[in-house]
Amino acid sequence: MKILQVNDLKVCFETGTGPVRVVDGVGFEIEKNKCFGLVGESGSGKTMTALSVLKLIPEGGSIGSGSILFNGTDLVRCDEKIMRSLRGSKISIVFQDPSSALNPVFTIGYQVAEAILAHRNIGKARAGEIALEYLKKVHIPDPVKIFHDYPHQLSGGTKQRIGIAMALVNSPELLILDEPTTALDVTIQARILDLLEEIKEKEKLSMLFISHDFGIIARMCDEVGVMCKGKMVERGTKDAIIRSPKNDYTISLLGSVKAFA
Amino acid sequence: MLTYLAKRLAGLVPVFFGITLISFFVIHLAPGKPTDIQTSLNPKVSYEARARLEKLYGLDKPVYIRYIDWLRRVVVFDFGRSYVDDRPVSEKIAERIPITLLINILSMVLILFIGIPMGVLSAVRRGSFLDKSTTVIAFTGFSVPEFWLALLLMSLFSITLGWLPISGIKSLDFEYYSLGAKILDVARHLILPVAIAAFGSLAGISRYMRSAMVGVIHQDYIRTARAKGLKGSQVIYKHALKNAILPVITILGLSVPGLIGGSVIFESIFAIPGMGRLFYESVMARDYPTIMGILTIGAFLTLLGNLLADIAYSYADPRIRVTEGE
Amino acid sequence: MKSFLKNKMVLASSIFIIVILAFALFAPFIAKQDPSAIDTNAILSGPSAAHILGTDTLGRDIFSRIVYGSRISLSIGFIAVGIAVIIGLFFGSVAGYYGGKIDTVIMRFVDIMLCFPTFFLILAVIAILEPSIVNIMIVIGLTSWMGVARLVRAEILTLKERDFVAAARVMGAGDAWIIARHLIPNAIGPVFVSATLGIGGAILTESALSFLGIGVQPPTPSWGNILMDGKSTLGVAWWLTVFPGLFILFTVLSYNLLSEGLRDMLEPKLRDDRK
Repeated sequence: MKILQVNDLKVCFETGTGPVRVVDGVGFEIEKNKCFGLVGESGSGKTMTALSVLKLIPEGGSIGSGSILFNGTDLVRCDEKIMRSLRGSKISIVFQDPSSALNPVFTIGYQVAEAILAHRNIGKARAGEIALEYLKKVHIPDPVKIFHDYPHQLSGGTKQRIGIAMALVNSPELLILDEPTTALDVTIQARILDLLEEIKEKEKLSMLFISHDFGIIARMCDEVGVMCKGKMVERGTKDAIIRSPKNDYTISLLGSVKAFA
Repeated sequence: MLTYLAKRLAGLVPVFFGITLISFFVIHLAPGKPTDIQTSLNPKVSYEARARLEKLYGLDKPVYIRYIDWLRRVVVFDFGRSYVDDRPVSEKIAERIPITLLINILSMVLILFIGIPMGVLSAVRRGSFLDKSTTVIAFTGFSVPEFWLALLLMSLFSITLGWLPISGIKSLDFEYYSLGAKILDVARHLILPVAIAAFGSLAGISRYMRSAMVGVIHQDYIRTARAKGLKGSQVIYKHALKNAILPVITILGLSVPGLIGGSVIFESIFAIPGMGRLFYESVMARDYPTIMGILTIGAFLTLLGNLLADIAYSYADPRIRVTEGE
Repeated sequence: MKSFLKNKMVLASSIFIIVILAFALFAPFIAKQDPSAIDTNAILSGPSAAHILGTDTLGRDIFSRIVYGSRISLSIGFIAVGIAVIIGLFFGSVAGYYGGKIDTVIMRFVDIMLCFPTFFLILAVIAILEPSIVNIMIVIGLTSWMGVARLVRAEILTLKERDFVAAARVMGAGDAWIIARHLIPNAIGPVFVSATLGIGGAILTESALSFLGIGVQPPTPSWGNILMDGKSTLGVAWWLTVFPGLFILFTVLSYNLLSEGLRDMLEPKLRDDRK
């Protein structure tokens, strides 16, 4: 059973010198309860592919062609209203930089509860309780205090845990992780990866994991797609790609990680 | 937040003294004495009489002593007596200031309630007809001479159409009106002055609001808000607006001296008996104590405006309101 | 498309500015009538072949007065801004280059100046110094340099860390030489943008002062004092108010648009909101 099927996806951006294709005919599938890794250098189109799934491509860009089937429904054809009902509930995302991903003028509790209230018809107090529960779930120290804190009072690691909690509150079927550890210190990175592994085991969800770091992808994912300049140059199971990469670009990306293998 | 405000307040003290110092010295180092007007025009005034006048005004003392004397009295709002009618300056200002404050506060309200939504809407609908018209209005607002606009509007609404009174703040038979009619009468008199006072800043604020909003809309946390599945209106009016308004609060504070300075112009044109008109009359009569008094009060109002903006800012921005270890 | 429209606006502004400059330079050739000639037979006559923009309360030709007035209004605009730029460059570069206590003192001074209801200060000083054209230029200049100072300081702060400054210092260049030869020329772009904007502002200030009777004194025409009679003739002689005002509006607008165009040229990245 496949939860997500992306076929021949093309994303274009209008620039002063004409349209630029940042995602060019990308296709992949994610099996239910599996983790699919998208790996490639920055600018290879990984993030745009992920944002296409949520239809959150920045202004000036648009999906040119292709289909994105989520549980069999083509998201490319869905209108904004349907997309809004999916975002944060069935499909949610954790962004790269936790220090800019949280709104500086609202409390943590408010921002987490808001994600719940956007999709469920429950009281504010109840939403607050659920939010607190999830803050505990992602192992935030002193969750009651942090519930009332503002983002600037917290460390990067804690903020990313909040980002993850916020993505989980509505028990999504698909969790997109866009370089979730890149902006963090190395030691914090390891702890966040531990948390993500724990979530992968405990929660029944599928993951789309984006990273430029093959080491992280190898640790987290079941299947891998390698992206370069908007195209998917190689795709397969993690083991197949790591053992016998076919594409030169994949080999060069693997080069740095080989030492550990 | 209290530490922050205390710091800001402490920072304002030297600024306040700097202002009084500059205005005092500028006026007193200039050639010409107030006594010239009374004496030089009248050849019958003897040298002794002139000296007596100068002593009366304290003009025989060195300038820094006069400043210290003056400052000591200013702290208790004693600006001396007017050269024109010998009444205490503070009394003259006190009776003129309410109407000026009323007009400035009303125009500030107008700026807030029109300029900010205008800026937000043009940021959200960039390139739309509304956005383009706002741009045109903003550029015109920056470029139009206020007094000329006042003359044109006066000519249109008061003379050609006859909808609004020409000048002053109340009708001649004001005393006989009922309370409701009195309020209505003053309101009718104030429409044009308030609109003129607001126009220039309104344009500026809407532009600032627009660019602040455009900057915020592209922030990561706005994408996060959308990724949560929030409605477009919630994203814009809650998440974006609350951030974009912050720099605009500071700009509002900075627009206070412009508004106060502008009161000279519109109060003269509309014959409004406020502080601006008093200043104009004092300047014409070289009434030094009154000029100094109004300059100081004007600077004080500016500082007050900045302080209010600071308080509003620190209240609106949790990064200042809530700091670790406080 | 948008930048094309904008370019058109900048072009139109430049043409208007050139026309007004031509008015000022060649006033006697453009306005055939004496701007001070009183014609009691033609008092307050509307636009006609003889007086294309009508006459004022003394029967003087308004077009001539506007053309000759442009000399006064423009020179006040240019010279006042020139003064402001010189003061601003000096304080801004000294504050930015030396930093520390000097910087603190200068910037505090800037804060103090910014707190003034500027129009009050100008009014007071001009009334005391006698409202001559020279005094108006100086006083407007003295009260409008703070923006330039802040700009220059910010530019110098970033520039002084660059390699070419270190290189110049290694070669034994003195502070004044480094500031004048290396820093200011590199910081001049934004100053130019701000100065263009300032010309519009200075023209507006002059017109308001003259309108209040504290600026350029009659019979010398300036755009502001032509409007002095505007209020008393309101509803009687619209041309007396409308035409001089339009000249002020369009001139100031042109300088503002030109400044915007210059800014876009200097900072192409700001041209596109999407960035």
